[in-house]
Amino acid sequence: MKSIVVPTKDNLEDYQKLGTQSFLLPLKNYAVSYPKVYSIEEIEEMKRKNPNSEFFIVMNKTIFNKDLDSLVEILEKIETFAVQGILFYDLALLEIKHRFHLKTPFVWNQTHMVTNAKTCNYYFDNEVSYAVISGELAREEIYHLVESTKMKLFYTLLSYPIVAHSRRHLLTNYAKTSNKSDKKNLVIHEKVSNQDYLIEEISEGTSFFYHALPNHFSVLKKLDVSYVVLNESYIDHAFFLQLLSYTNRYLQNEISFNEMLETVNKLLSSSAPFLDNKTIYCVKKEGR
Amino acid sequence: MKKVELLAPAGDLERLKVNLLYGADAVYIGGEKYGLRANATNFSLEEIKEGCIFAHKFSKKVYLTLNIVFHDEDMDGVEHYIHQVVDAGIDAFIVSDPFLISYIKNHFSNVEVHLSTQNSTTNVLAVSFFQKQGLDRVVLARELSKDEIKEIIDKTKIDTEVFIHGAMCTCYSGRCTLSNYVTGRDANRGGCAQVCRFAFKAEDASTFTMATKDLNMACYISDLIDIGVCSLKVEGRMRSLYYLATVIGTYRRLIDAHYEKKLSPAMLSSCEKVLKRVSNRENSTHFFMRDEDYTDQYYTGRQELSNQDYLGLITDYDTKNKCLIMVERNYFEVGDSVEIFTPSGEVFQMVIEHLYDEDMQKLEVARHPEQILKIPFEKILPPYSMMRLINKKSEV
Repeated sequence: MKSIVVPTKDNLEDYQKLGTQSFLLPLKNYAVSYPKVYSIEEIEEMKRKNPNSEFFIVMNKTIFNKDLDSLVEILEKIETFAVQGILFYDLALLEIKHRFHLKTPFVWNQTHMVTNAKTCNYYFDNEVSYAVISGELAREEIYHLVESTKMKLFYTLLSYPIVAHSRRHLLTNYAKTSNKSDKKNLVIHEKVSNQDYLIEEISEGTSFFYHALPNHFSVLKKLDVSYVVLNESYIDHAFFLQLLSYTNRYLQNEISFNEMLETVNKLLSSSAPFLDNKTIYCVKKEGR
Repeated sequence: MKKVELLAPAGDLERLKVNLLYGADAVYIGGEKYGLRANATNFSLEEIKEGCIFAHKFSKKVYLTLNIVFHDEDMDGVEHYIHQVVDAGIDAFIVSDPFLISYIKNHFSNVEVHLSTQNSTTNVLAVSFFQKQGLDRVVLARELSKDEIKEIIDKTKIDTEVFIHGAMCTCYSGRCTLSNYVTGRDANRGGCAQVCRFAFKAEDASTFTMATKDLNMACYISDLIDIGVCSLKVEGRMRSLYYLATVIGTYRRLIDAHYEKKLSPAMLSSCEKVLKRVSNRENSTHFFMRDEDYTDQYYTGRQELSNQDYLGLITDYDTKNKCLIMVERNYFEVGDSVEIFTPSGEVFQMVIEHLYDEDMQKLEVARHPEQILKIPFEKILPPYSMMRLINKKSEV
């Protein structure tokens, strides 16, 4: 099991020094819900400069007809410099992989939909190599999924969770109706749950993030996946490196699970919303 | 020429019948599990069977939603359930999970599989992917424009279903878990608490809301038919009988008028007026002809109006006293102008001159919902005829 980082710095040395050699890079114009994105030329350059590192490219935006020609071009371009994989949301990408017999491994990354083993296996049989487990699963569901699928998996260990995404430009619209300055991000508060959400708008629409850093590290005790994802977006760099360091030291057997968790628990006070609380499915009472 | 399908939401058996009687060509329903309206009444296997028999008698169809995002525990029993529902006579499944597309197509040749809008399918190649899995129809994302829909139809030739009326999500379907985080109810497994309609506080303590106005595509029905959409879908499995009868009856009139080349601006205006009165929110055509903008949403708090036009459901006829028998829903009084409408499209306008209770005791006002009332009327009307207010006595 390796750590894989969504960086916010172009220079990867800080992460590499701590033992991380795998990176997820959101692709400019094709990734949503990531504040730092990279052009295809920048990714190519990073790959050239870091020959010992692994790179996966995130392309998780909703695709429209007007995007398709350029999407084919960019996937063919990526094919030429052999990255470790492409994280996709829209099925248009998988259709292009099939049509053009692309060799680059694909990672099923439909944010809230990677929730059961049979569907993971379905995608595995359709030339998808990996899946990113959804963040809304409970601990036992995660372990069960990992045990039950043929698919290699990613699990997001550290991130401000992506909660929702809209095609609408909600902050621009809000500014227009309320005579406020046109901001591209805003924190809103929901009083009943006492939770904050960060809203960020880009040209592709608006993303919602849970504005707390949930602590998922206890799941590591029994987790057996290919990669654990640590997403630096919106996190202070020094703080992030501290957490990355403890993660890598545990993964490299330098410290025990208890030692790692004890330290992380001191740094991350927010509990993970779903890890020990399954979401309610049917709110209707039995017996109709 | 194959006529476009009018597809209606049915939360229970009575709504299923009302929809079909008022002109829907097909209904979509939820079973007791696996549908995205877990809090609706939903259908038992026996009720699914009864609903299918009723629909098939009129050569109409019933589709079952099986469109939750499945967790492993939900998968237990789903295959057995699919077999049971096929035996009950269902015509198509609406699914979001591609595993189920292949499972159903591999096991049954007599049912269709439709891809749910939960997948937010927005482009030609994504449709092509699912076509190869055996998909019969795609329910397109509600974020698409007319040109985008047309291009998908022209290039894939697949049957397409498009929402024409009802509530809209703020975010892409399937890409929203606000409900999960705020309330613990799983939006993608039938528990959506509609958190996008909540009021939030912004950093400067002002109120931030983002609730969408409802969709109303009455003025673009001809455009949708002309570009080749196969099915026009109305949202609202939890809506009232009156709402469904009004909305489905109105769209039936519009669709029929289009094919008969009788869809005039005056008729459209009259239908839009009826649709607006039954709605409790303002409406918009959202993405269909333009980019979305601030007029599609409420940004200053939740703005919903209570509608009290629905006066009652006509349940029978008193032949001795020549009176309609009805169950009251909302307050009205002698002197009010009303309209009675029937499933076959007949409309009778009148002023209430006399009003009686169940025992033929004279009343001046009807003020008790669920009270049995009698109103003199010369004609026996079909079941599920309804009465609505046109003008209060005081407004005449």
